[in-house]
Amino acid sequence: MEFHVIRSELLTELQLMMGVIEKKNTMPILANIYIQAEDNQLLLKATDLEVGIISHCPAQIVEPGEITVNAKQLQDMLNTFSDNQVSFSMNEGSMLDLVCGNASFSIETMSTMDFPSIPECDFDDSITFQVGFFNDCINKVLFSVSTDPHKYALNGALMNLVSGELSLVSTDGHRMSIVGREMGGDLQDKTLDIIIPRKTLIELQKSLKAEGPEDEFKMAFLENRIFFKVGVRVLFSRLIDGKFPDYNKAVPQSNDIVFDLKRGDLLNIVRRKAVLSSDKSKLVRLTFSPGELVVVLKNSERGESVDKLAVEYDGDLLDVGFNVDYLLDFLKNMSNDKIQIKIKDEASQGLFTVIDETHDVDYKHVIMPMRLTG
Amino acid sequence: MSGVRKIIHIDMDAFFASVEQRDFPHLRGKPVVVGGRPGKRGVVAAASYEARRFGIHSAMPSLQAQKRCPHAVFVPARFDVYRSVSGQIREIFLDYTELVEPLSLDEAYLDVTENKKGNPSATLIANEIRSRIFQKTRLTASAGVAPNKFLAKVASDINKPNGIFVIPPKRVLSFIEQLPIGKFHGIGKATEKRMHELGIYTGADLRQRTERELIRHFGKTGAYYYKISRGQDDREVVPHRERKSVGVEETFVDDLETEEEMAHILKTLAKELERRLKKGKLSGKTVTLKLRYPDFDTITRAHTLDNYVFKADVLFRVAISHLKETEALKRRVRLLGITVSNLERTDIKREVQLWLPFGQGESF
Repeated sequence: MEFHVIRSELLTELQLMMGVIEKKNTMPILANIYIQAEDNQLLLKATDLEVGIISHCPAQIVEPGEITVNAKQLQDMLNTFSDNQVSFSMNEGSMLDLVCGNASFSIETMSTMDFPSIPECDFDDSITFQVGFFNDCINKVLFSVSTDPHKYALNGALMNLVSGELSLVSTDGHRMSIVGREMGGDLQDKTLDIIIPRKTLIELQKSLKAEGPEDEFKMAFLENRIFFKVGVRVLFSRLIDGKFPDYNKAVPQSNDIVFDLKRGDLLNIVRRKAVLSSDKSKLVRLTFSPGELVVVLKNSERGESVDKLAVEYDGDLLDVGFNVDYLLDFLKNMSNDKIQIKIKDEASQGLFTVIDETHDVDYKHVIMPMRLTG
Repeated sequence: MSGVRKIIHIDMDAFFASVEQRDFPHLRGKPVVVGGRPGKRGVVAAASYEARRFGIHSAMPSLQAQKRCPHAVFVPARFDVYRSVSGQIREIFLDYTELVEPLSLDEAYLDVTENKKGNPSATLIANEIRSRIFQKTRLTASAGVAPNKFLAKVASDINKPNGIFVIPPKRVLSFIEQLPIGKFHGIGKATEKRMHELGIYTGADLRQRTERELIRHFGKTGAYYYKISRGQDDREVVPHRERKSVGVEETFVDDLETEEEMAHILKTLAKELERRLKKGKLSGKTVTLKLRYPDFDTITRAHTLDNYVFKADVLFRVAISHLKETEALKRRVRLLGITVSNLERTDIKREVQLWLPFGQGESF
């Protein structure tokens, strides 16, 4: 096997694949990247058995062949070179030689026989989404996906498609994000009810960011796997086989106390609370009285932070507490200028939404309060 | 804190055994062992100086103690009495300073840099305290006087029993230099051996090593060794030490063999632990099972829960699930214990995050 590639082009692909490379070193072959040189391009594959990426990189092939090498090492080596043209060739034995200008490396390889077989999907029956739209959806749900391995079904986002209406939902049991959009068109007769793992969403987002927002990508299914075709790359992943809770039950229906706020104002206030918060002290108290909102975090070990904000409110005194991290996550991950908070009482879930002039997507974020208990 | 501090470490001499000898004249001059009787496989809680001459020390199995000294007198511990004597001693300490940090019933640190008597001599204060303890309790105490806790503790051991040793600031370094490495507080038998292997026998040897080297060999404690070899110990005397854990344990006359026996004991221990937690107004997040096999191999299994707990049934449930991860049934068990740590006061309000109402029985 022998080929020449442009260093920066190969590095771009490697960068995108590093996220799925197994880092725990349970099986050495999973730390490797598969490289096949054929037809003026390299076919690249990486997987941790749960998630995988197949990609391509243009190359000048002198002698076709296939091999696997440690992905991290390869990336580190390419990063140390200064010229942009790199030549790869197998020497006698099992070493792969890399030559770039006057510099060279020789690295150990492993046979492709040990590399796990990667499923192939023809994308004949697929769904098409716009890159920018889907990226925005991931942004709005990713932060509330549970990372607790004991809550298996919540370790991903639910993707639901019924009569042309798409929903993405995530929750960790304390808060929940729901993105919805009327898709129409050819999605009218498709039905989906799947849970996409958190890691897959993160990797998909990386691939989406490498494309333009107006570009499109494809999604397809094969057995219990989901496939995404984004540009020259194919990302695939196992789906989570679990029962997602009935999320509609937790969406508040009668939160009559409504406030419109500037996101930036509240973000600054909550950031000040975060300065004093600690593991045992996360409760941000929002006290609404006619005309005024007072936001307080009291940490008996560190101190106290108080903010006052004028609001349009003429109801009874209302006092509700939320976890500072949850408020911050919501406020940080939105991009709109205005938000709306709907509250019922101090023990019921609050509804947080964004005011979106374009009415592009419908977004609801639900946060359960925190309380003081003796 | 600026300037040189004056720290006193007071350590009662063979405390439990001395109280027994004081209260029961027939025990005086005899090798007395406080703790479980040898026939019932107990453990030595304390030994009188007469008994120590035979190599008997606390935490040794009573059976072994009896072998070393067949005519030793074994007496059961009377913790209520020791606690009340300890209280009397504490009263005396508080006459001099509020900065009293008890380490156990029989020893404490005092910071007398500033003291209620306005006495500039820590040595005079230490001797006054020792003589007042004797007048009040008829028990002797030893004292160490030094500019920090580490040195004060080492010093109190030097002229024990019924003695005092003073390390003035200007003699700190020369004192440390000659100090055998095993005498350093915090260096036990195993570490002592490691030190010897590295050619470190005295404080002077220790001081020649770089901090990096010590950290490489001993991890985080290496940094501590580096500091104390230079006589540096900034730890303050902390008057109210918060409890870090609450635990109960029991050693058995006969090894436990069946799961029923073990479950029965764990239930009893869990109930006693609940009682103690309630009394202390405490609950904890981490539940640890302690278990000793007949060959004295001792293991612990800990689990940290989502919530603070104190109820016996929860403690029992966690403990029994740990038991299943051990070789208890294969190897039998001579000691079982349950400890709760990661404590939280139950009389102080606490933040609780509520759950979204997805409906009944939602388990994800």
